[in-house]
Amino acid sequence: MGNNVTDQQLVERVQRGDKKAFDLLVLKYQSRIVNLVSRFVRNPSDALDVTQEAFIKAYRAMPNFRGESAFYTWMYRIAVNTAKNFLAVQSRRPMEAEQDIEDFEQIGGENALKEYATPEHMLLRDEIQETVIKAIDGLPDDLRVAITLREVEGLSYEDIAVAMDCPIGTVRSRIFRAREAIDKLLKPLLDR
Amino acid sequence: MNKNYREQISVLMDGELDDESLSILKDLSDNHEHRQIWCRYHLVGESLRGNLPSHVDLGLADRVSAAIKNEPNILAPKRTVTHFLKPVLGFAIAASVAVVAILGVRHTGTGPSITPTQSVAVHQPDITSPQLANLSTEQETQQVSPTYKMPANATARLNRYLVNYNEYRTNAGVQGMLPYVRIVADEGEE
Repeated sequence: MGNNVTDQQLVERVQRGDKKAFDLLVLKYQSRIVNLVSRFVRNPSDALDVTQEAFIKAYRAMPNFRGESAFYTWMYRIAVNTAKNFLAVQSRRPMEAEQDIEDFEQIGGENALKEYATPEHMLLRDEIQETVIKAIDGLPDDLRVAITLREVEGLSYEDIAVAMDCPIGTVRSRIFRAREAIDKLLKPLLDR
Repeated sequence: MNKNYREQISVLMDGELDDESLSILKDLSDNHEHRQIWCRYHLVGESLRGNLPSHVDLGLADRVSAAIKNEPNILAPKRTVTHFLKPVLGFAIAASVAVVAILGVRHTGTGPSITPTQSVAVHQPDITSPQLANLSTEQETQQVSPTYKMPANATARLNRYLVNYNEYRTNAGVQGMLPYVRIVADEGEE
């Protein structure tokens, strides 16, 4: 799949010392990894913490990634192992529920208890979903079909060109215009 | 921002790479605004696939970035063997090992067609009688290995050789031929 080619390029950049290239991999896969971890770790805030830890572990392990599998497959295994380790540690801590809230307040600084999974984050998710659906509904047919075949069905530009009976350049343009139209509605929501 | 540039980001995230879209990779990771576009385009994709998590935390990537900021830079050694060559290389190594194993077996003579043990053991009672020994040698050799005909005095010579070898072996610390030596040494005492 073509997506792997981009991942491979980004991985090679990270392995040559470009930390910012790793940010692009995080931005690309964060939703999928949070979803994956959430299947093991029910508490949404813990799931976000575990996801963050999994990405950090992946970065540290990057020199060992030899590209024999897709980056996501490799990342998937790290995320699952991190989630399982988290659960194992949690199960060995029966006293945690009895800890006084003052203990947490005294931690302070960087280790302060943070609640990442807030109601606002849940609301944001619903708003993004609504906005994207609304934007898709407002697209002309050719743009809607092109972006759906690409994002939902995972077809390559070449396959979409065959399916829509048009040149690859047109497919590329339609997908981009569809993304632009959706992004026009999404950006103000995320910039708030 | 240049519309063409945004289109390159779109192409890049679909993995439909050409030289132009590859060239924006570095800028994409360096430029905050471009990274945001990359992030939003991917959010659109996850949303269309129904893969948005229950809580969308837009600060996650920034926290990861901050955490790895103090990590040492990765400088992984460049891979020299390309993926498609690996199976070929593995096959070549396996074939070499197989050839060495086959030649080694032949050279050390552990195959079933090698018969000195059988010959010496079978001829043991006939050593005291040279005529019977010669006769027996020919018969038994034919039974064990019909393609190889042992000379008449071969058994006696072989036994002498093994006795000599045994003396040499104990001095030189060489291992091997213990079963032969035990048999031949007993015969020598007789």
